[in-house]
Amino acid sequence: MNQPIVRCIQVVKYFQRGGERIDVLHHLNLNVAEGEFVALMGPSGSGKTTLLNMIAGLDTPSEGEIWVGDDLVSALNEEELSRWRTRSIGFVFQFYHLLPVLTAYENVEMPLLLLPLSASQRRKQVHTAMELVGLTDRMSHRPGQLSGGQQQRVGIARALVTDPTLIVADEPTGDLDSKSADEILTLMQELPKSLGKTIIMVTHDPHAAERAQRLVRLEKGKLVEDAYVTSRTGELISVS
Amino acid sequence: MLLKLIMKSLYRNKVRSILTSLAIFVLVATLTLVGTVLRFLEDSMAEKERNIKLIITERSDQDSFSQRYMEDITRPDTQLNAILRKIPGFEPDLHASWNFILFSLDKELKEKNSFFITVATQPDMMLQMTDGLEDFTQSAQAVAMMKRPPVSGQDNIGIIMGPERLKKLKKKVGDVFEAYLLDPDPAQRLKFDFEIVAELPATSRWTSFCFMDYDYLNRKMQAVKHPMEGKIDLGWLMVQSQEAATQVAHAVTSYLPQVKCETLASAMNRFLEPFKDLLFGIKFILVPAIYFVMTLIVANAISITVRERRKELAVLKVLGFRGNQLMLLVLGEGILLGFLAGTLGSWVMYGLINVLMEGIKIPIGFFPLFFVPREALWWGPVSGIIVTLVGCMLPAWNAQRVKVVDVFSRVA
Repeated sequence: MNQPIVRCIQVVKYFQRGGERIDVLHHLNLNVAEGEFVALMGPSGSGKTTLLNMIAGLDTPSEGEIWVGDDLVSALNEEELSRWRTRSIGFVFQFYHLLPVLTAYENVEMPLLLLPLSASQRRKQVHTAMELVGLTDRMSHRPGQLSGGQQQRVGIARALVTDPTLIVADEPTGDLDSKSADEILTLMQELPKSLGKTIIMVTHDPHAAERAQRLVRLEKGKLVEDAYVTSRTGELISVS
Repeated sequence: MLLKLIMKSLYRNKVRSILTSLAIFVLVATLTLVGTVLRFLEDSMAEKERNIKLIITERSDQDSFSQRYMEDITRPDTQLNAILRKIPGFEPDLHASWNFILFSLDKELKEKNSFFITVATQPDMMLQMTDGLEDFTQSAQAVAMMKRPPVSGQDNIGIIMGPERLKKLKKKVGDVFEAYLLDPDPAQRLKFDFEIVAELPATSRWTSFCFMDYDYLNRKMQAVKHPMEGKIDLGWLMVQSQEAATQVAHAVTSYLPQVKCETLASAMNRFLEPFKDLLFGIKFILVPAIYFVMTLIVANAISITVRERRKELAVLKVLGFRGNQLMLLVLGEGILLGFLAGTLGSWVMYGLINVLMEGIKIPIGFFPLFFVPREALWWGPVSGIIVTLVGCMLPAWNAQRVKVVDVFSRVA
């Protein structure tokens, strides 16, 4: 196993609703190695999206530590998290969430505007990202003019464009037909291989999960299964 | 890019952007109109630092008064004039008298449209002692022609008319005509000959007035021993400081208790006294109410926009946009709308009133015509910006506080 790039140490998350404490994650430990493609599975309310949000710096744990690379993400304040996300995280949404007023090119360029890059550097990075997702011929199209699969490709290009440490994807195929979903999963499988990217993907879909290298299952806020997926058969080999 | 995003967001919500802009446009246009009248009246009531005009009127306010009083003040051989000359800032050679005379082209007084009001004054003093004739470029020539009209050649019958009066009387420069003094007693309806020697500028407040030579009026009155002979309605003096104005007014009223002597500004204050409650209401109730309504409209429109775009704002936050950048985005949209609509509101009113309509007619006292001040060209955009800035504060604050987790938990 490569050096872990994500380390969740004794992570606890709870919410207060009224006077009641609702526990979402219970002392969870998880390491993800660099270049791994991990699928997070579990029933609704198991805490997988909460965990993903905390790893991506969108939420903070109630207790415990989350490290991404050398950054203790759980200790960063809002301002620092914003800056950190720009450089370190690429986010792929279930419903793509592209800005409808911008073209595919402009949507992908968006995160780069927050970095100190020249226009030509930005142009180069956007082209590279669009090439990776195979959409160089759709750069001037608006989201409304693209299919669901194409929109998700743009979403992936937007996540890749800043060359982040980690890509997190929340149900990236949840809104797609099986053919488009398959294309997106193939693309996501390629990213760790060709670019060495680390991907953590939340999914409900066992077929999608089988495409990952590793499957982590949560139930009631606890890690109940952690296994490597063997290719083709989808057979699981437990992580000791 | 932020500007591009702002423009595109506004374009995306075209109907809302247009309706919000329209509301700001109408309200800024109304503000411009109200501000124009207020500004003009306030300016006329404000005391000047130099070239201060003192106005002499009969104390009872009911009648004309004898020209003799003005002679006591202005003739160099009088005791009062000697006192006044000792006051620093008193201008002994700058003075005038005014008579308001009503004439009719129709001796039977049946044609209402043939009536016209004329100020009889000393032509040489007319320009220096009359506010609002600054744009009268042919003034020197016109004044000379009042005394010696070129067409008729009859001394002193020259009359200068405002363009509106010329139009109503269907006359033009160069016309020689007869007019009758308006008097209920037909025997007193003196016939006057006039020659129109010049037209007052359309931008002047005197567009429906006429100016004639006082000597001509006096000569005609003397000839028939008319009851109005030797009487005037107003006298004018000029001083160079407020201190001189106080001293001159004190000296004149002490020496001539039958008259009042005050600065034009304080006379205007007194004249506008009946309107003061109205002006107060406009300034302190109507104007703030307009600002309040504008702010409310903007706040409402932008709040709806922010609510509808919570998801989009959350995405931007995920991409790394900071709260203050999102705040700027929302403020930018509002401010851009406010700036454009505010500019349009005041600039359109300026063009409409000052250029197309050549002044707006709101008859308040001697001010029949109002012009939008040049300052409106900046106060419109600034009003738009301030109002949208205030109106957008809360929605912008809400935008920067958008919690990504909350937004996406609702979406999923």
